[in-house]
Amino acid sequence: MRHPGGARSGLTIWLLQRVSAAWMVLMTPFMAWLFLAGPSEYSAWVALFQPLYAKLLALLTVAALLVHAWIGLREVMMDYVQIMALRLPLLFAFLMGALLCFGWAAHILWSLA
Amino acid sequence: MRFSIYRYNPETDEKPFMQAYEIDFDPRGKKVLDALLALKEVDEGLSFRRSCREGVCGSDGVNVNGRNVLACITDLEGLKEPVTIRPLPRLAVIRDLIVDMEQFYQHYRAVKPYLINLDPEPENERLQTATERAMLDGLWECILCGCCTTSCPSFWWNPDRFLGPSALLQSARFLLDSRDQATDARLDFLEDPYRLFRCHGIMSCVESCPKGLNPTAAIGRIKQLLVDRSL
Repeated sequence: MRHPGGARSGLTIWLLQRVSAAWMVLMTPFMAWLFLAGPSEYSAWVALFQPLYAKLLALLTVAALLVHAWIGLREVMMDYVQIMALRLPLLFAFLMGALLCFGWAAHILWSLA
Repeated sequence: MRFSIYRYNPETDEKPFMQAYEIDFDPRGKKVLDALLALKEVDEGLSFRRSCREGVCGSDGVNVNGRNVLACITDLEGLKEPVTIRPLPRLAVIRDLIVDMEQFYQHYRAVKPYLINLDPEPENERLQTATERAMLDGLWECILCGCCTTSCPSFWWNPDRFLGPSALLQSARFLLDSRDQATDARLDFLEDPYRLFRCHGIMSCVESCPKGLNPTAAIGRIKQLLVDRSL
């Protein structure tokens, strides 16, 4: 019998972790280039992120990183934080932190001029 | 040879302790179980399980020098002295090297380790092709000794909720059987944050399996079945 809700969320979360990892792997060569051999001037750096597709790709990568990190933290806490009264607020705090980071990243990307 | 053996008798000992033994014993060609039997001659109180003494029954799983092994098929020669023998980790100790396997068997029962087929029984047997039968290789050989499950850190953290490599391997054995018809119900049971997905691919189970099986690969096949039916 399948039930709606978190108790049956194992597969979705596991798949999300896999997919976010795959996305980050795809983006790694580009990020490596950006950090190692990318433009060294602010204006050139800004110009790189002017097109909409560049902003969206960057934001998606940030999202993948945050999703991946949150799932990883959840896994760690399911093993080590056995007290539910502690685990739940911690998971919630990390979730809020991730959402804040996402909003912040979006703000930075769209404020480039 | 020198040995250091975990001793605990709940009727007389307040706490478990490691007892040192030194006996005259030639390790050449001998197994750990031979040494345990020799030690029992010296100290009748020493308790451990054993039966077939040839790696088939799976009753003498113990932790030797930090590794989960079957005492009866582990060479004594070459082991670092003192040979440290402890009960399998994480399970409650009943006495000395004897552990309470109830939790392990509970997980085993939970995966319904038998064929579920609602068709009328055929006159003779239910046939399989050679390919269908080959799907079960590497799965049916499990002897339920518990070496893999008790070496799994995910089982150590959540022994009551994570099924453990052994039960999951058994689950895969029936999921992949062409004669079984309960695939969906079996997958429903496993699609849970704990029962299956506490496995992080640490692979201690593969390292410790005395039969050379690969529970991590079996778990991967279950995950693949789950993905196949969900997308």
